Amino acid sequence: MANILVCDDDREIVDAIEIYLKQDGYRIFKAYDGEQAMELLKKEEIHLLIMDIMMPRLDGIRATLKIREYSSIPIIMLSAKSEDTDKILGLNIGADDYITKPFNPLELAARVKSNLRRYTSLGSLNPESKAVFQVGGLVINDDTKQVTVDGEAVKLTPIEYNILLLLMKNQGRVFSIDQIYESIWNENAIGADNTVAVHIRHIREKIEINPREPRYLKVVWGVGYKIDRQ
Amino acid sequence: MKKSTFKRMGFALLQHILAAGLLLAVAGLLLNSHVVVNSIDGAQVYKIFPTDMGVEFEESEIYHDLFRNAVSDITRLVAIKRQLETDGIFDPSKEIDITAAAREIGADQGCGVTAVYELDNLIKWGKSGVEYASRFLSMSDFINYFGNCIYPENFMLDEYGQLCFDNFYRVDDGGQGTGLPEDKAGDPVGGEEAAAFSGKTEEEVAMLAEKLEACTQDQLEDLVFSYIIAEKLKDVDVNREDDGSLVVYVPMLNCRYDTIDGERQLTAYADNWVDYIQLQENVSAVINDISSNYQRYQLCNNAYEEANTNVKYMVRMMTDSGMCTYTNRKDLEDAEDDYVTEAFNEYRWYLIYYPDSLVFMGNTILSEEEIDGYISAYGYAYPDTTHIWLGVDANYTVKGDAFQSANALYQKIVPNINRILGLIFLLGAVWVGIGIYLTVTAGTAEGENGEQIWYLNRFDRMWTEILLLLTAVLVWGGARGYGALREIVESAGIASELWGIQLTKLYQYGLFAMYGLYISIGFQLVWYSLVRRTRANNLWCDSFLYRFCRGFEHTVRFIFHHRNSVVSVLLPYNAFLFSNLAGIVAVYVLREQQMPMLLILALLIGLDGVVGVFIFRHNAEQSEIVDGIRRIREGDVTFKLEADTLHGSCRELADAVNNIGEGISKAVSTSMKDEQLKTDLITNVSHDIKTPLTSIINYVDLLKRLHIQEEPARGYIDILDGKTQRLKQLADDLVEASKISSGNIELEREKLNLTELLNQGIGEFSERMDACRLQVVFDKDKNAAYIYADSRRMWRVVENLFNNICKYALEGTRIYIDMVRREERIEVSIKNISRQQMNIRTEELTERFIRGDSSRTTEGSGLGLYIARSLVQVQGGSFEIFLDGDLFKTVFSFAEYRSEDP
Repeated sequence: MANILVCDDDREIVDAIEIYLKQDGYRIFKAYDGEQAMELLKKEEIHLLIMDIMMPRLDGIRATLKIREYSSIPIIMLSAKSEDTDKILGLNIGADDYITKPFNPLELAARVKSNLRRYTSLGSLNPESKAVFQVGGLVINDDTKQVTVDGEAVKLTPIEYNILLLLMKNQGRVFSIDQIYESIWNENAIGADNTVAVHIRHIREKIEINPREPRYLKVVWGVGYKIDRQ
Repeated sequence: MKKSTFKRMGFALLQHILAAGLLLAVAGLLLNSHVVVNSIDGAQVYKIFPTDMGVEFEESEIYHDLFRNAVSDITRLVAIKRQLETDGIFDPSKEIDITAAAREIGADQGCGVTAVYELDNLIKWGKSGVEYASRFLSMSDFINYFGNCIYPENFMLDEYGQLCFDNFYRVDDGGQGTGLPEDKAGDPVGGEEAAAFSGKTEEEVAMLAEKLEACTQDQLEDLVFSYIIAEKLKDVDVNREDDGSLVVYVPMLNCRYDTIDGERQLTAYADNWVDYIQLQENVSAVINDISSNYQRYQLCNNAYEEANTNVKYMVRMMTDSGMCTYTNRKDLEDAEDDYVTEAFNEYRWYLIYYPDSLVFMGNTILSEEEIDGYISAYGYAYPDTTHIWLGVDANYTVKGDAFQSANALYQKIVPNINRILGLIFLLGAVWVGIGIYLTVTAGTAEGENGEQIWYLNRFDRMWTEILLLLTAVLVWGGARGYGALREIVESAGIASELWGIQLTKLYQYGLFAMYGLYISIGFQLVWYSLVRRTRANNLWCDSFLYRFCRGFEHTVRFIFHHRNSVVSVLLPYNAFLFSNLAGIVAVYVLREQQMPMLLILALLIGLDGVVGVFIFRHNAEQSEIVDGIRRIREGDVTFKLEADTLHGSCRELADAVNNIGEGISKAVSTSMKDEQLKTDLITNVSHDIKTPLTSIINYVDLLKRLHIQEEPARGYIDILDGKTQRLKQLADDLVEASKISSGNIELEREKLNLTELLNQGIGEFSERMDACRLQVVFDKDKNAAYIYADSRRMWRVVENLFNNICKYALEGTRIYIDMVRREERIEVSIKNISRQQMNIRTEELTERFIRGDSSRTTEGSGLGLYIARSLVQVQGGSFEIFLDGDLFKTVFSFAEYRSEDP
């Protein structure tokens, strides 16, 4: 079982996270400021760190910078700071994920699971076949018509699969609704309306932890959809 | 008000009519109370009014005037009779010795010769007029016209021993002798006679002859001419012709009639120019005298015949040719003096005068001096032996003469004068009475509430000076009119003209009436206006002088208020003007001296140039400041004028502008800082809220996981769950809204397809819509609708709108989304039917924290529409909301994407 260090100056939050994650079978270590976390990291074998940014004595950002000097364990930032700049900063200095407070406990659990999987089992996967496309934890194997997210299989309808495949094949490229429609249905896009958008939403719900903040299938509002190269 | 105005107008009209009537009465009195008498000098007018009232006719002034007139006429008539009559009858063939007659009337200047004419010739000559013929003579011809006069006897030596002309003692006819001194021996008789006349001895004559020989003919002629000119003969003149010769001008009488000697020309009676001219003048004077006397004689002689006048007279005098008696009492003609005196004593009014024995009797007001005065005017006709009797028949037995007609008129007019005067005074009194009434009521009227108010008409609001001017004009006109009326009154009885119009009675009365109207109307115009102005207290306020004073006062105050400007502008300006003027004057004065003048001119030009440069610089600097102010106004609050490069007041101004700019810049940055602080505060508060909120949400979630089935705990947990979710949303929206309102967001604008965005949005919301059984009808444009906007913000807009729809739209209805292109704008309207009744105004919907129901029980922060609108506006779009019953319509539009947008 993985050891998870939860660090937040708000003890109730730490306790709540402990409750959630214990249910999933993790072993939880608790710290209430950055220095405590650093100490625990040195003492115990920690596989994942959930850390608040605003903490006394040593804040999350500086703590992350220090940890990154010697460790590459997944770090999930958990902060009330919801600004884009805050998220970008957190991710840039070494955090692997960024969750804003107030968070959905299920989402937190999913992200913990995802990050752990990445860290432990999927470290580096080299796809042998040209029919296998991978972005982060999302893998699509066109030979087997299988889609996995963080190793877990996802069931998609044929149209959903084709859309996802199109986007996975052309990572980084933005497809408009019409383009997607024309290449999937092989029809003129007139009257396509929001069919594609509805399918995309369904795909997102299946492959994303939080469909509103997708990691893989991203919406470019007013332009189209894309899957970024990781 | 109306009624009283009519009343006033009626009174004013009555007043004018009264004035006209009054003047008519005056005219009646003045124009009728006179008597016209034909006296020896023409018609005479004698007035009864205003001198004679309440006395008998015979005591009255007019009677005395008439008597005086009669005395004057008779004394003159008698003198004329003496001149023209022989034995009481006009004698045309009476011989008139010209020089003697001229002496009698005082016209003779010592003429040495005379001529005799018959009376009727002279009278006829006078009627046809006395005329002269102009003669131009050369000097020689002039001197020798009456024959040669250059004889030693005619010359003498003055006290300085100089030769000069003495007199015409000896003159030869042109035919006799040569006129040269050498020939004097040829006419010894003349010479002797002349010598005897001149009283010169032979030695003297011989000596003079020598002197004469030493002189040229011209010199001698000059001496003669000088003598003639020295006599100052009338109208004789000398002119120098162009060739240098002298020409003498002589007017010579055109002799129409012969003298009794049968001579036609007067030259026959004179042997030199002096005598000739004097005789000629005498003839002319006598003719004039006799002509006028003859006219008077004709006029008066008949009028003072016994049968034609009530005046009786008798003049008796001893003359060389015996006793002469002139009378219109033929019965007394030959009577003795005493008897005559007795007879005249019988008249009521009489006068008896014996100048020689100093007897003066009579009961008239005529004094002795007065009658002496009349007589002395014709002293030649009245020797001392004259006796004069005069009387007036008080019975006026002769009808139609002056006394009788005057008496008749007097009896008619005098008793009525008092009545007419009474009428005049009555009319005057009524006029004054009305005037007083109108004066008291002038300018007053009853206001709406019965109170008294003062009012002014348009005329009253004119400048007081105009009123005064009008008054002056009216007074001047009145004076002129008075003069004209006076003339009419004075010339009453004599046919007269005014402005070329024959004045009949009608005209005269009409003029009087018009004058009355004029006075009355003029008075009304001026006086009542004056009264109204005084009442309304605007006599002074409405005057030009007042305005002028006010203007002057304002000017003075303005200047005083801006005395700094006086020092900085007015004084230098005046100094500039003065120096220029002084320079010009100096240049003019020194125009003869080149160096100083040029120096001053150069100085002047230099000064003007410097002033010009100063003015130009000032103006340029001012426009610079104006530019700076415009830049600051346009938002460049950090802009600074370079005050150091400016001068004088411009620098002060620039400093002030810079200060203002700094102030604005400070205020702007302060306000921006404040906004920033506010946003930061909200953000921080939001963070601080989120941390405990996280715990609440988590523990509520944990509670839910306990699967508590007991009511009401389960219900409570649900409520907690819902409210915490809402609180979370609220905290997020709050930060967003505050960021937008403080302008603290960075836009990442790009080309985006609005159709795509809406499609994506519909796709995103499809499940929620389906859950509410909402059907979306998207009427999109065929072409891609590109706009230039921040895609994430635009998504936020669409998300908020769709969120609203999901929350508030009536289940089972359709959502209409229409997209149209209009004037290069893309307009999107989203319509839905509201689930609940909207009890709110549209403006309020986009305010912060406002929701469709003001009770705020439903989910949502109330910031959705506000954020949507703000985001649209911040990206240059427009956002409007329309409410029509339950129809809720949102319209937002953006400019279409153009290739030039970055």
